[in-house]
Amino acid sequence: MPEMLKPPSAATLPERWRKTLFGDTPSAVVSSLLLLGVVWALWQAIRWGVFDAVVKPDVSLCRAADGACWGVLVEKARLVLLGRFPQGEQWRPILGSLALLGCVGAAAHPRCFGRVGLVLMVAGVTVFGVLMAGGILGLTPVGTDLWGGLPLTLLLAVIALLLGVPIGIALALGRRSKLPAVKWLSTTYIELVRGLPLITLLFFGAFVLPVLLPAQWRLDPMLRIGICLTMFAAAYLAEVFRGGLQAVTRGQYEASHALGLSKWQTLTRVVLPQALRITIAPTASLFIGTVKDTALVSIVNIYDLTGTLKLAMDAEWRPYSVEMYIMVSAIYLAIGLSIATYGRYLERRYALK
Amino acid sequence: MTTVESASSAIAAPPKPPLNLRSLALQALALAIVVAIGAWLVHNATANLAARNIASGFGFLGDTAGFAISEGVLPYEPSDSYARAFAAGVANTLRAALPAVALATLLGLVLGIAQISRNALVRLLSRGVVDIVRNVPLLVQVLLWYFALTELLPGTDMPLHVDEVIFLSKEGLQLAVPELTASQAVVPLALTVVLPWLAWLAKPWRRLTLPATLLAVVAVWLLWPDSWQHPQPSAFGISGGATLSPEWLALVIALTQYSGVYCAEIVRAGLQAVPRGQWEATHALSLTRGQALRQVIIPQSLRVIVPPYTSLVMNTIKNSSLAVAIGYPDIVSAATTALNQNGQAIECIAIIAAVYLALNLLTALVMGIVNARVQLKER
Repeated sequence: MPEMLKPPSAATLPERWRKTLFGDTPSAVVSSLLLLGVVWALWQAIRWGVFDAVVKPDVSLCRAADGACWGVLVEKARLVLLGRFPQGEQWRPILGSLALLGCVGAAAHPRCFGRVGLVLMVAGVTVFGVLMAGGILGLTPVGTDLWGGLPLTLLLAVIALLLGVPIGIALALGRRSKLPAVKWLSTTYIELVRGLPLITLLFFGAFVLPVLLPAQWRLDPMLRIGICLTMFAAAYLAEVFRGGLQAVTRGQYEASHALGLSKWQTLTRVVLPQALRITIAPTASLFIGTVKDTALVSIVNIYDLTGTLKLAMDAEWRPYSVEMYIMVSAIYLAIGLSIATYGRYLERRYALK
Repeated sequence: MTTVESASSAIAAPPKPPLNLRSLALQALALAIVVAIGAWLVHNATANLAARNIASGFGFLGDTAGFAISEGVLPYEPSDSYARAFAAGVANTLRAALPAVALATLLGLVLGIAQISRNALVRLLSRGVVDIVRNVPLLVQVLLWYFALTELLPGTDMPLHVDEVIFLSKEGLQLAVPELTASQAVVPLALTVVLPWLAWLAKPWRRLTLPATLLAVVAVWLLWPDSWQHPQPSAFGISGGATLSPEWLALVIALTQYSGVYCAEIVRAGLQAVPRGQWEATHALSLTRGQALRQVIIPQSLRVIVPPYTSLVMNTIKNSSLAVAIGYPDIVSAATTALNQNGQAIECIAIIAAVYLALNLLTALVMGIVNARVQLKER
């Protein structure tokens, strides 16, 4: 082959980096400044977090040191992660969370979608509930006021989403219904909830719901807050699903009509699978949003991961809260990033070839 | 004409659909269930309120509130009425939400454009910032900033300061303010309005005149006053000057960064939605990258950006309700304080709901006008 017909050789990685970072003068100036800044920031972070840090849970050592006091994690991690659950029984929230996570993880595999996944999720929540609440199988009963920390955050998120998705689908279908009354009711509900901050709904659950329900019911605060989180997530999910439903073309309905499918069959076999496929990405970011939203329950005195953090920081350890905030943020970050990764995996798997 | 129309309608008019009894019955059932639940709730509420001896209705709005509101733009005393306290709360909500929206928009614009930069390092760093801030709950960020501002900063006896003008300490940010009487303030105020307006009118030279007039306005405000009121630090606090409380600072900073990274994603998506051909056309016209962005790409991306940006503004206003977690006196904290005093939960929560719904509606109206302006004009 003549020399000139060869494609230009691919640039090596260092060459590509040199070109993108120092291609022209402005770019070179920006890159140099940023590189200096990053190196300086990294150095400061390493100095603070590694070289000058104290790992022993000893306040006097921490006071003397310049760097981070990771000892606060050793000292308070148990309280922040598990809340005020009775000391001797703390294997129960740990085992319960593992069971819940395991079941959710298994149900998240595309092979388990459908009935198997549903059974797995319900089983996970049931095992978690039995382990946490006790009262049967020889477990001592533990009131929901003592539940807390990461297990509670996980439970609230899973419940809100497990129940929020079907309610959301129902609301989305309701909003697209041909029956004016159904349409009007669904639209009002969705717009009302979406117009309010979550805190308002949580206060509604904490203060107004007890007034609206018969006095002898005495619903558990955890249950009331769970209901509010679910109803909040459902309204947002409904709007996402409505977008997906609108994207399914008329032809699909007409084709299923021509095939003699019933309305229910059309919905479950033809329309919903397509609508849900389109909405994978926004649904994933709503799931992340719901996990983050559970942090707000700490405002109505329920000790989730954020609530226990405030609980744990007594006067002695309070100056080292930043270390604790870093740990809690890292947990939320890990949950969020794994949902995002899973969402991208689903998108790839169900992409139209 | 009329004959043709009447003839065609006589022939082709679709038969009236038969009255669908099933769908009517279904709707009646749905409505009946909702009404029944509503009636049941009202019945319970009346019984419960009577048993607990709690009044109902909005009559309490005229009563003396009795609780203090630590800061705000609306003058308020504990001896004022509940209605006044709620108004002060709404003013405080806006006082935090509006600056946060403005700053978040700026941050989002910068981070959004940085994410499509040709420089890989800039892309990488902005991506990292966006991913981290987006995945941590806003409440955690608000609490972290509040902790940093109230615990890690030096005390009021030795604040960080720039000369005698800016002081930063555990008590927040204090700024020196010019001492002006109302009549002295007329000239600088008038110049502040008129100069930028004139600069805006001088259309071909806007790029020169706008920055120049902005500088001139700042200079007028700095040079006009005869005397300045400087903050005075002492061991018991800093007095004098204008104060931004740590609560306000923590809320606005956290809201800015949280909404800012969401705005960055909206801006990035909008910029990437502009067809590649537009970029290529700007190359063909030998526009610089800055010119291309300003004159070609951003105006077109606004069409995609404005609708999600509208809901971002609404979310930022709603998220400002997290103020209650750090004791910034917004409408939520005013209403919940009232709730704790008189126990009228339904009314107080309804007031919060009404305020946010009204603010949402207002945002939707304003952004609707903006949206109409940026949409493609098809002729």
